[in-house]
Amino acid sequence: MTEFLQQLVNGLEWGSIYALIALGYTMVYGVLRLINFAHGDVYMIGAMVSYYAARKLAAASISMGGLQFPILLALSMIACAALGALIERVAYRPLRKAPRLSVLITAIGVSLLLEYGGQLLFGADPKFFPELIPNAPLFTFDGVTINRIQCLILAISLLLMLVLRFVVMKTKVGKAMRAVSFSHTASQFVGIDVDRVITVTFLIGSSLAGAAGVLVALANPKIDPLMGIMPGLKAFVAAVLGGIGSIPGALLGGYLMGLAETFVVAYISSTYRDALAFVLLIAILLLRPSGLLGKAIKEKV
Amino acid sequence: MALAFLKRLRIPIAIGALLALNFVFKNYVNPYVTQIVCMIGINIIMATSLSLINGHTGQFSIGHAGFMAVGAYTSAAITVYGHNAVLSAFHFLPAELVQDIFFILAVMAGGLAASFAGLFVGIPALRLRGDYLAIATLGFGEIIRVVILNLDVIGGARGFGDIPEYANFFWIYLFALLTVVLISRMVYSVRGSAFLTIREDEIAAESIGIPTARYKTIAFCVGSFFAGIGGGLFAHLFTYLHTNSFTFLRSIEFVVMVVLGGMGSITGAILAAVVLTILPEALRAASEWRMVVYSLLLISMMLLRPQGLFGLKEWNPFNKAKKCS
Amino acid sequence: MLLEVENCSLSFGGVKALTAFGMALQEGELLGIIGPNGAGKTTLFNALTGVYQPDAGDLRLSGESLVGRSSHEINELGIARTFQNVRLFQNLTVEDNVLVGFHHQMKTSLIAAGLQLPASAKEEEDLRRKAIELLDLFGLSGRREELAKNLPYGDQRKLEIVRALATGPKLLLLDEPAAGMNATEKNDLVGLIRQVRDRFKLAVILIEHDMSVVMTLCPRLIVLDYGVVIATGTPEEIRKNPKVIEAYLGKA
Repeated sequence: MTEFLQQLVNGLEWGSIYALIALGYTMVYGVLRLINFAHGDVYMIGAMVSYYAARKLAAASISMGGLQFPILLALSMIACAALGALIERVAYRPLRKAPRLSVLITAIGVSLLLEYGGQLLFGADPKFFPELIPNAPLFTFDGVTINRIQCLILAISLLLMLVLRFVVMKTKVGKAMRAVSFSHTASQFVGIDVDRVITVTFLIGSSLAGAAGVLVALANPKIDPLMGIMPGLKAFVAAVLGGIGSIPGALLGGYLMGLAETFVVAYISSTYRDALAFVLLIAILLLRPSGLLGKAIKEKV
Repeated sequence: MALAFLKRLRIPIAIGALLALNFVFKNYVNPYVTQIVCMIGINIIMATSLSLINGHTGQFSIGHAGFMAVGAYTSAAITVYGHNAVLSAFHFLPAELVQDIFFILAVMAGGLAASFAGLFVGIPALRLRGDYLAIATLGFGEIIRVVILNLDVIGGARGFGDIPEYANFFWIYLFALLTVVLISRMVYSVRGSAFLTIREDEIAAESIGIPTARYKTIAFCVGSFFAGIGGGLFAHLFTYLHTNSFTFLRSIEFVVMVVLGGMGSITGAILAAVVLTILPEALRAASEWRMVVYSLLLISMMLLRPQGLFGLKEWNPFNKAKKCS
Repeated sequence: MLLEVENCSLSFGGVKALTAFGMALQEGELLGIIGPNGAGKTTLFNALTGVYQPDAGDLRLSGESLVGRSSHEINELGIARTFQNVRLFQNLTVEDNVLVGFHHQMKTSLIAAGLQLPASAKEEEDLRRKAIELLDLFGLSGRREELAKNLPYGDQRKLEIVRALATGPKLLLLDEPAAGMNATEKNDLVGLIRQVRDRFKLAVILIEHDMSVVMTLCPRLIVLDYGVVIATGTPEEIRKNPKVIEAYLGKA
């Protein structure tokens, strides 16, 4: 039983990460009907930015007391937000009216650019993220241990998700996002600046991915330019699982994915860890393509 | 008059030309260059076969390397494990002849196995559209790769080696020619225009009696069949296989060829296959820049000329019947 | 009896597009269906051609039930249609749009085409001839090499009818064929539809908003409003029917 609970905690840890990344996928798909292949790589950039910033701070011998982590987190989130908005502006906006396959290919191109450009810029070898927060156990009960970092990940993810929910449900911009997800044309008719809403969507989604990158770097210090590929894919599957375009769906899918993965590794075999994502993907696409919380849309003839 | 006569003899002329070129490449050309030329031939097969699925039928298949892998490993397994038995069984015939026939049959078997994979992917894919279909094919491509990676009988993680080197310029370009001729004839026939209608407007296609599900499946099966053939030739050219050659990145390379050439243009796909086979070699000197240049090429192509080089047109000086779309 | 619709109902979520709709059509009849926008007319066509499946009721062509069949099966049984928003194969030529309509009547296979067997080549030649004949009827054969998307709107609508005819139907469903046409074109259209009906021995159901066209052409009309039949009869009867007037103009 303790083993089970422990795995549950571990599953929630990775579930939070997948959920944070999945939110970005789902929000962009909601407003643009685009699968932003480059999103997983934005997560990687988040980790990289905070890595280099941490090194710079250490080299300049600037100590921020306990504030080092929040500052790095904020920095990464801002940097990733900017990157996401830039990508949208340069690579996706010109193709707003283009056939779907073209945009998909462009997204793949951006993803490759970030990955291999990252290798060129940062070097292909893995870097080791400094230990900003010691990974000591914070709670222990009944043999189940929750580490500080796990706690931090869960707490920060929850916080970010609550903020997001507030933004989407209660603010004007959030309402605009929901309107644009429904229909670009109708939104324009009620005076919504669709371009700006889309930019905001990318800003928010990418910042969440950046946050996820920093959190993961804390927990698993070994980072490299290709680290975004698998988590990106898994988070995407999670978004589809929950129903792509649905924010609660992304959360549900993310946590399901994290839990499923953890349990498969713990109780079945670790070699099938990555394959699980593909199998889940095919299964959901065949059984319920609109996802657990999504709605099927009928084409008007 | 002379032209009609030549047209009658076009098959022997083609074979003669291929044999002659094969001789030239084998004896007078640098083996590195020959290998690249052979790779162009294989990529022509891959691009044309994908063009049928993506370009002409308008489906989003981005897992084509998976079908190539099935063909490669199947044909390699047949030749590696079977060639002794076959050679001794037919010892009364000249070894070269037996080898050639065995090779062709192994490659065809690879194609057939790949077309089964195509069926396996194509049928569930019928329920999906656009992006969802793309992701599903990507998933299937990866699943195929992971399955092969775990099959030790064909090498597993260490790769599959000692494949007899049966493929050469002649065989590769013979198959390439057959692929291009068969697929273009099919697509430009009245029967084959069904594929195009699926791309243009599925609901309208159904309303005029086109069984769209059946034709989509046929597109997947035929496309994957030829991809399997490409795979078989690939295996017997490089004599060593590893699943790293059949990743998602490889599938994307094929998609780029089809899109760069122009969706729905076979001649475009062929040209793009040539360019995109030579380009990485030309960039080999600056190998870290290779992928970066490649991705920039991808992005700028989509931004500047999304319809590709040829758009929806074909360029064929020999046959006026081949028209637009 | 060529077509029988019995008690057919179809809803989308909460919207009842068709309620207990029933009708009968003889071979060779020309029937018009009119009604305000959103009355369920195109939904009826979609139900008849298998694009949507009815929630209840039955649709029968020459006694065979159409429920549960796919669109292409229904076309093979003998119903062809045009669409409210023209759905031509834009990047195919005019000729190809018609040729592909012959598809399900073809005898040679795809493989035969791939190998360019003589039987396949001969069949294609015959089909090309038939296509040109059909296009001639509508005055489009001169433009047969042009891409469908480059045709003027009125010609596009005519081409859609030719394509539907190519499938060899017993029943032709025309969805607002006169939309976007001027007076002369409409006149021609009326003549063409009659010609087509006589020559190919078809029944035709016509959805139209243009009263001059539908009342000239159709000896019998059905009026739909909110998915329900509110009147049937001759053009004269319909013109005078108070319920019809109310549906179009609202209560006085």
